Amino acid sequence: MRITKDSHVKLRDIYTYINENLYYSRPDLHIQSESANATLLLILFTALTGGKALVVGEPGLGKTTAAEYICSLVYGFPLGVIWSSVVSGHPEQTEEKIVGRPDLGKLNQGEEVIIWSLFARLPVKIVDEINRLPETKQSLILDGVERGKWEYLNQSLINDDFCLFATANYQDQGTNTLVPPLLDRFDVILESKHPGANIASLIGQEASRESILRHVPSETAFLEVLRQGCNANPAALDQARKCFAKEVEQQCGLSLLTPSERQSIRHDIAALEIDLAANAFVRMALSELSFCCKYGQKRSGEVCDEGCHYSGYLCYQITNCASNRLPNSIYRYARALAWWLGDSRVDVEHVRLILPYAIAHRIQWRESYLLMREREQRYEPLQLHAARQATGDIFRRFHEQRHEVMQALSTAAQIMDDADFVPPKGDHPLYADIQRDLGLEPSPW
Amino acid sequence: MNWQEVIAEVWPRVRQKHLWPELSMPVVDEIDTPVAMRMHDKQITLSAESCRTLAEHLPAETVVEALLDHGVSHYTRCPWDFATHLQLYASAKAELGRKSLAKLATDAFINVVANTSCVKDLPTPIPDIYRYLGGGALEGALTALYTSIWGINLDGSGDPALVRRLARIPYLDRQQWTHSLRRFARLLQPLFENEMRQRQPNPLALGRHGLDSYSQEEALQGLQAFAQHVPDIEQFREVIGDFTEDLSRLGLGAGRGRRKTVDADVLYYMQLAQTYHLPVQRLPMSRSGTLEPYSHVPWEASKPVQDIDLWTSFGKLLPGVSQTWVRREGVTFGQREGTPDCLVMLDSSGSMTNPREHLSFAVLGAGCAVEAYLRREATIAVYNFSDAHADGKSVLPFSADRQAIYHGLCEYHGGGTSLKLQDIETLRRSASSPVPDLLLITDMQITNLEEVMSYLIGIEGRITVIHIGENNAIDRFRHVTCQHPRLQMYGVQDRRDIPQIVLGQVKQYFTTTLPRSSQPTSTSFRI
Amino acid sequence: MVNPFQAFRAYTAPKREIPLDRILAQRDQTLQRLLQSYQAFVEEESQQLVWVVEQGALSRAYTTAVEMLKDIDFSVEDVEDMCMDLDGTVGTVASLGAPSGLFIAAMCNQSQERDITLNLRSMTRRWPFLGYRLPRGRRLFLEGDVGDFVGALLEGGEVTVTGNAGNYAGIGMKEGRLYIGYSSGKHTGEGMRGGVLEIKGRITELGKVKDGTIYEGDQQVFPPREAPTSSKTLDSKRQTT
Repeated sequence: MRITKDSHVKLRDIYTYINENLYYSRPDLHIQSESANATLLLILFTALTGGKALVVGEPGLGKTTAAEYICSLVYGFPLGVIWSSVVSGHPEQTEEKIVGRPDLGKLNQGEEVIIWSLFARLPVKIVDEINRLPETKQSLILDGVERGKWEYLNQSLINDDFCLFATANYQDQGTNTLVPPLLDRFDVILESKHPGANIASLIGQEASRESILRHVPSETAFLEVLRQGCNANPAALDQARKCFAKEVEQQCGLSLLTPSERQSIRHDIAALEIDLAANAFVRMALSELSFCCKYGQKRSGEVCDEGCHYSGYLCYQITNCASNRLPNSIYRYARALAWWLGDSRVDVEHVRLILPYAIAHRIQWRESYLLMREREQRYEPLQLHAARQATGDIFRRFHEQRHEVMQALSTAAQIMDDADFVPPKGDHPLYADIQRDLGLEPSPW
Repeated sequence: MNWQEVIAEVWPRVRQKHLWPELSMPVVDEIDTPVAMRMHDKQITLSAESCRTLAEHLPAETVVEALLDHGVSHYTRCPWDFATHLQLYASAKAELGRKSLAKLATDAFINVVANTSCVKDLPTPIPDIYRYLGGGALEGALTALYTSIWGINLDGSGDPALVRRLARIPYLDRQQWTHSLRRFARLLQPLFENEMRQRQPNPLALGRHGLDSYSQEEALQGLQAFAQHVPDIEQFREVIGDFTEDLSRLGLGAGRGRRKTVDADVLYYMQLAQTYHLPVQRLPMSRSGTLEPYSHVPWEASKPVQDIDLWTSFGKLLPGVSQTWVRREGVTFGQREGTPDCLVMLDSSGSMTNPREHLSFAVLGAGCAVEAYLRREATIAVYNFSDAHADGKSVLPFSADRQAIYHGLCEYHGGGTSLKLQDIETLRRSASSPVPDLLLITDMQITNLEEVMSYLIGIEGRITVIHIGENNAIDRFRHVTCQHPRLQMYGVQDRRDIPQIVLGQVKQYFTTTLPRSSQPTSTSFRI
Repeated sequence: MVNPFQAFRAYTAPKREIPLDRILAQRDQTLQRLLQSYQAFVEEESQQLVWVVEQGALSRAYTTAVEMLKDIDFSVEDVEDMCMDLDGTVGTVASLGAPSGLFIAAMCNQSQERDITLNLRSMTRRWPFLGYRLPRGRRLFLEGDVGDFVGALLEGGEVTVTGNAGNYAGIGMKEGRLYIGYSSGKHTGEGMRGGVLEIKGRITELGKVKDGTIYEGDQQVFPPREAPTSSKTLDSKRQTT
C-alpha cells in the first residue's frame, strides 16, 4: 500500500494530540524549523519502526505513560489492553507471568497447552522498571524480543511486528544493574524529564485524561478475543480494533493507522536513502568507537596507553567496543526522523541528532572522561550528556575532514575493484580501518 | 525593511552550507559598539545599522548571508573554541609585546582565517561586502590581501610587497596557526600601531572578538586546555592577566561583589589540577544491615523441585502456583562508604619552588588531591608552612571553598622549615570526620623531622606523603615509616608522576577485604 | 568479498582552489628545491672544510652556492622563508652558521629584485656573511641583528643593518656602503679597501683598515681626522695600527 499523505498527517496529529493533551513536556529537540520533545518523538519512532527503547527517569515522570499513550494510538489498542500486557519489574517476576503458563486444567489431564501472556502476544511490549528484574528475567525478555520468538515448554510463539519499551528508575537500593550485553540490545535510551514547575502544576490541576484512551467495551472485546489464544477469530480482533478507532475519532478527532498503513510506513522508512555525508559521518563515529591501534580493536577492560597517537579521538576515552547493533539503531532512527520531517534522504543533521541517544547506554567511558563531563552544565543524565559531547567532537572532526574522508572512501572503493591508486592515508582511525579492509596493514603472522 | 524576516529566510540556507551548526536563529538589533555583528554564547546578533549601510550597495539577502557566513565560520572554523583563542592571543602577544596590539592582531588573523575558509569551501557573498566595508590602512591592506589570495578584485589598497608576504601565510592550516599568526603580526605591526592611534574605529568592521563571545562553560574548558598547553605558569599568567575583565564578567573571578578579581596563578593550578583524576580509597563510614533468611517465590518450570514448599503449594506441582523456598545464607551487612576529610600540609619553604614564579609540582599535586577529595564531598583544611614556629604559616580550617583552598595552597612563605605539630593536632580535631586523612607534601628538609615522624606514626588515620625530589631526609623518612600500615609515600619529579598517586592507600597485607572505590566499574551501567 | 566502499565509488571531492593554494604550493615547491640545494651545498663543502674562514675557501664555497641556485626561480619572499626555515631547523647541518649565511648571501645576490629586505628580528640565529659580495646597484636591508662578516667583500652594493653586527663587519670591502644601526664587534673594517662603513653606535675594535671611510656615530674614525687643538683628549676606546 502506498504511503498516502494522510498517514503522515495522521501520525503528526497523534503526536500533537498526545503532546497537548496527555503528555505535557517541553520541546528539547530542535531540527530545521521544528521543535519537539525528544522522548515523545523517539518513542513514536520506536513504535513505528519496531525498535527497542529504554526510558529512564525519576519516578512519576511519565516514562511508562508516554509509551502507553503512543502505543495505544499507533497500534490501536485501548489503554486497558496495554496495561494488561505490561510486565512489572520486581524480583519475584516469573517466566509464567512474563511469557506464558500451562493451561492448568488441561495440564492436570496430561495435556500441555500453553496460554501465552498478553505481553508475548501483543506487538506492544512494555516492561516497567526493567532494572528491578533479576538478570535472568531481563535476558529472557530481551532474547525474546531480539528474535521475536517466545518459547515455553517446547512450544513457540512468533511475533512479526513488535516494539519494546523498557523503563527504569535511577539507581537505588532496590535495583539491579543492567549489564552491557543487555543494554546493547536497546536501540536508544531516553530520559523522561521533569516538565518544570508550571507544567507540573497544570498536570496536577487537571483531572486525569487517561479515560480518553479507555473504552471498556473495546477493551472487553479485545481481552475476550485474546483470551481465546490461537483459536481467536481475526475478524473479531479487527472488529474490536475498528470499534476502538471509531471511539477515538469521536473523542479525540484522531484517525488511527491501520495495520497495513503501519507496515507501509515501516517499509518506506526503511527504504529511505542515506546520503554520502551521513554515511561517512556514521563510519567515522563507528571507527572511533571500535578502533584500537595497539590491540586491534577496543575490548572491555583494555585501556589505552598514555601517549597513544590517537589520544585525541574517542577510542582513547572508551573502554569497550561498539557492537554491530549500533549502526542498525542509528540508521533506523535517523531514517524515521528524516521521514517524519518529510525529507527524501537521511543527511548528517538527522544522524547527528540521533547519535547521542543511540550510543549513550552502549559506551563505557574512562573514569577521567566522565569526571570531566560531570562538572559541566547539562540538562540530561551524565551518560547522555557525555554521549552528546562526544557526538559533537566527532562531528567537528567530520566537519573539518569530510571531503578528505569521503575521497578516501571513494579511492578505497576503486582500489577494491583493482584500480591502481595510492591507498589513502590520514590521521583519523577510519583511515586505518580502510587500510585493514584493503588488506594493506602488515599482518602479525 | 524587516531584517528579521530576511534572516529567517536566509538562515536555513546558511545552516545547511555550514553543516548545521548548533546555533540559535540569529537576531538583528541596534548594537552600541561600532561593529557589524556580535556573538555571545552561540547567539549571533547583527547590527541593524551596519545592515542598512551595506544594503545601500547590495541586496539585503546578500548582506545577511555574508554576515552570517562570517559569524558562523568563527564558530565552526576559527577560532573554534576558547582555548584556541587564548593560544592565538598568546602567540600574538609573544610577537608584539603589547596587549592592545596583540588583541588587534588576533582579531584580524581570526577574520582572515574565517573568511578565507568560507570563500574556499563554500559559495559565499563575503567578498562582496568587502568592497564596501571601507576603513583605514589596515582594512585596506587586508582587502588587498583578500584580492590576492581569493582571486577576486576588491579594490584594496596595500603595499604590494607587504601583500605578497602576507599571501604566503598558510591561513587554512590549523596546525600552523600560532606560527602563522606570528608572521602575520610581524608583517602588519606598523599598521596595527597606526590603527591603535586612531580614535574612531571603523564602524563597519566585522566585529571584534573578545572573550565575551564564549559562555562560562566554554571558558572553563578552554582554560583547562590552555593550562595544559602553556609550558609554564608565567605565560599563563601573562595571557590571563590581559583578560582579567573578560574573565571576571564570565564569573571566573574570586571575591565578593560584582567586581571579582581573577588570580591567574590560582586559576592556573585549579585548571591544571582538574585534568588529573586521582583515586581516593573509600572507608567504611558506618555499618548496618538486615537479614531476611527465608521467603517464598513462585516455582518456575525450569527450576529445581527440592525446595518446593508443598504446604503453601496446595499440594500441587504446577508452575506459577507452587511455592519454593529461597534461602539466603551467611552474614550480610551493609556498609556506607565515604571519603573522610583531608588535612593538606604543604611545605612552602625556601627549598621549594615558588608556585607563582614557576610550575610547582608540590602545589599541583596538592591541587589534584584537593580536586579528588572535593569531588567526593569531603572538606579540606590547608596548613601551608615554612618555619611554622616563627609564624611562617597560613592556616585554612576545613572548608569546601575551592577558591579559598587554592589561595591557601598558592601562598609562598620561603624561609626555613619546621612543622608545628600542635597546630596540626588542633586542625585534625576540628574535622567533622572522626579520623581525617592527612596529606603531607614536602621535600623533607624539615628541622624537626624526627618529631614529625614520631607524630605521624602515632596518630590514627591514613597518611599520604608526596615528596619532591630525593635526598637523605627522604630516605630517612622512608626507612622509619616503611612498616607503617596506613602511610604511603609517592615521589613527584615530573607531571607524569602525579597520576601514580593513590590517596588514602593502605598497605594491602595489613587489611582484610578493603572495598575498592564504588565508582561505576566498566562492567556495569548505573542509570 | 563485498566492497564496503561501493556507495562512495562515484564521489569526487569538490575542488575549490583559490590563489592562496597556488601561492602556497609554489612556495613549498621552491622552498623544497632551495633546501635540497642547500643540503647538497653543505655536503659538498663539508668535504672541503669550508668552516675554515679563509678567503679562497669562502670564494669557492660562494661560487658553489651560486651554481646550486642557478636553475631555481625564487623571489625575495623565498629568501626570507629560507631564513626562517633554516632558523627553525634543528640538526647538524643547519647549525653550521657559515654555510647557511653564505648560501643566503648568494640567494640575495642572485635574486631578481634589486632591493631586498630581510626581517631577522624574530630569528634566533645571527646570520654571518650576509651581504657578501653584494654587487653594485643592489640594496640589502637587514632588520634586526646580524652575525659576523656582514658586508664582507662588498662590491658596490648597499647594506643596511638596523640592529647590531658581529665581528669582522665590512671585512675586505671594495666599494659600496655598509650601515650598522647599533654597534659592531671586533676587527671592524678589517682589510677594507674602499667604500663607506657607518656604525651609528659603537665600534668595539677597529681592524686593520687599508682604505675607505669609517664613521662611528657622526665621527669619522678612518682615516682619522686631525684631533682638535684642545688639551683634553677623548678616552681611547680603540687602537689603530
